[in-house]
Amino acid sequence: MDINRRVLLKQLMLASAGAVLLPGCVFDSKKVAAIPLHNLKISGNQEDLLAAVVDAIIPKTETPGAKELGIPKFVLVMVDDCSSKEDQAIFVAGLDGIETFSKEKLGKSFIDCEPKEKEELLLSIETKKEAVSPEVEKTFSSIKGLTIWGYTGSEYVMTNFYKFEFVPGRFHGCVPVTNQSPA
Amino acid sequence: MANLVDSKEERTFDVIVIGSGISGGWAAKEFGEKGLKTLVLERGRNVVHNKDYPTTTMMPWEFEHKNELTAEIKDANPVISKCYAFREDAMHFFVKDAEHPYVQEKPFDWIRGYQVGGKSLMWARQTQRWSNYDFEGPARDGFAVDWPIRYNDLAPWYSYVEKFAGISGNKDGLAELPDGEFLPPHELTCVEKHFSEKVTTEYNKSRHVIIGRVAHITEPQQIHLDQGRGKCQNRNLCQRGCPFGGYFSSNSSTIPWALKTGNVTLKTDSVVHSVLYDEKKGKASGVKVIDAKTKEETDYYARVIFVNAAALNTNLVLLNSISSRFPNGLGNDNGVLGKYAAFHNYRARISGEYDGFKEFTTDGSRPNGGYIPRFRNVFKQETDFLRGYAAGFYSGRSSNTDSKGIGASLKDQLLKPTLGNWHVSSHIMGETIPKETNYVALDKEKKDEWGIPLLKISIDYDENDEKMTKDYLEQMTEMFTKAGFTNLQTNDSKQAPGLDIHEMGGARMGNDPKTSILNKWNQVHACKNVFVTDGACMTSTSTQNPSLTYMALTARAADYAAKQMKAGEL
Repeated sequence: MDINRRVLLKQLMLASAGAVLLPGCVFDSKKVAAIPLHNLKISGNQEDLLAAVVDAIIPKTETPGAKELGIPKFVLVMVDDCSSKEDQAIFVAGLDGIETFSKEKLGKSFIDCEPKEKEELLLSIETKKEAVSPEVEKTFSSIKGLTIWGYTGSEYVMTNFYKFEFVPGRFHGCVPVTNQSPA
Repeated sequence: MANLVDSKEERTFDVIVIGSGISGGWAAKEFGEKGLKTLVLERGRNVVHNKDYPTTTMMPWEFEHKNELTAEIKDANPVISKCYAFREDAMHFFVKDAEHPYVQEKPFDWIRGYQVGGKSLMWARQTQRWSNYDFEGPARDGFAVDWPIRYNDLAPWYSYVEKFAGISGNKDGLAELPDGEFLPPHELTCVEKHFSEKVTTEYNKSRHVIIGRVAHITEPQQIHLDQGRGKCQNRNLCQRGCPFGGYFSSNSSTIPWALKTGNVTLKTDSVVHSVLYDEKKGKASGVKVIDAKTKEETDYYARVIFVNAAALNTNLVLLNSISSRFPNGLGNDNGVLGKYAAFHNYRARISGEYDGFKEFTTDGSRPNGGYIPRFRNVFKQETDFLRGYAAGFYSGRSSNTDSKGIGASLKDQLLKPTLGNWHVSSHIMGETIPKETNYVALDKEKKDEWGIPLLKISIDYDENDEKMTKDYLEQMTEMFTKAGFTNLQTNDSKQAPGLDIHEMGGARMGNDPKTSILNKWNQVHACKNVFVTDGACMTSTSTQNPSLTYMALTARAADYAAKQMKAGEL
């Protein structure tokens, strides 16, 4: 998983390239974020929007989705603690941009969209089917990268799907690949 | 509250050891076992085996930032953040940039660990012996000065420390990399074996790919169980401190062993200012210590002093030990002290893929890698640069996940990673030539908060290193190509010296007191009761990871010192 994680991290870092900042928050900024943050200024509504985006990227199916596994908090903590001030500004602007995009396209807030609508809206950003601002593109890419990282690195996924062993107690240099081989 | 009665007698020992890292720990153990009353001074805090490994049992998902550094930490620590092991799980064992400033006359990334155990807690644990081709290097090739010892002087001491520390390795029978007292080796992977066979054949047995010799207990012997250490469990999280004592560190091994003898006192938060010199007796009398927290100054006395503060800090202590007899630093009659520093060139890397062995993979985890012993200029000079390089060699299968798309389909893809191709990689470990122009010195104005001059570091690459780096990339490209590796990518990071964490020299050993600081017993030529057995003593660097050699030199010098003390010579 290491390679994958590094690629994602790289994508996240790439999301920093210079860009013109969008005007500030388009939400009701009175409701404050529930997660204590050091640098980011995020309103409660923006926090809810982020959780909805994370949820749409990796939804609950027969197994828990990213939101249930606490990944929205991970995304915020990582952006808050591990990105530069410039990237943080882009992130907030991009988050607002996703909401604006939703209102333009579907006439409603992102969180009020149906699951299918959310998925299509985000897909249209990823596939560049729709022209969106660079901030929206970068922010979506950051959220997606961090969501995947948080989800695949979660206790639930690592122990139930990736056969994670904390204390392997062995090394064999050449064994046949089986269905049990961890990838 | 004022100090209670404190007599000079209570501050007097047979031996003082400055530093508790990989070499200081050995000095403590040896003197304690020999029944000598020993004081070990450590400038940092105590780190007790298992008790003070705060992250050692943390699961990867328990780290708030998934083991990444925060922007705040990176911004505040541009130097230490470059170190591969300075991550969320082990950053508490590294010196932060602002805590202990130094002066970079030339760029130098100084990686330090100020605590009991020093860097032995976080080291990479590779333990390759030197051979005579290494000890004879300077004399044969006409650089530095001749080593005052040869392989035969050190061989029994290599064996001695290997048995206690626990070294895993394969008896490869190579003249250029002597075998040791090995516990069972780790396995090479299919691809590493393939590479090894190809290289042996293609280069007519003049180049080899072997499993690294590494300080891991792969099969505990009684001597390891007696230390309370057990078998390595392949967690590969060594830098956090090992709950099993599976790898060698001062903390898990030599320090508790030394303390158990009842002869050793470990004093933490004790910054050594200087070695005290008794002008009348014509020898060192003790050390001046400044309490790291209270800044209170105390002198301690001993018949013999071992300086094991880590290569560059040992230079600092000696340079700051000023007396009428030694106005330029202890033992520095010739002006050599601080000079002829060297390091290992770790700049170059190569990586690639292998499109084979698809039906095989690895199982478990290995705290080790493949090793390519030096093959350039070993038996005779054959290139337009001096000396050569060893190399690390690693392989494994990557994991591929398709991260395209959104929603349930993406989730499904993520939960079903597939095995990718085998990837291969190697990095250089090049010998650098010690030169007078590569030096450390005391800064004339700047001092630290303990009143000790800052160390000024002036160490750089030269033309020889450039040629060697180029040759490594060419030769490895050729070897990788012959082995059928593809998608080769080469990189010269041009990283500053220091990041190799193999800085050496400054108080080199030699036969001639006019051109060296230490004699063949690691004894200061001009002040016989002071010994230096850490990286500062190194006359040349060769290509092997140096810690095993420091351990062997320390045990050998301690044995000599104890015998001299018994004979009334010291």
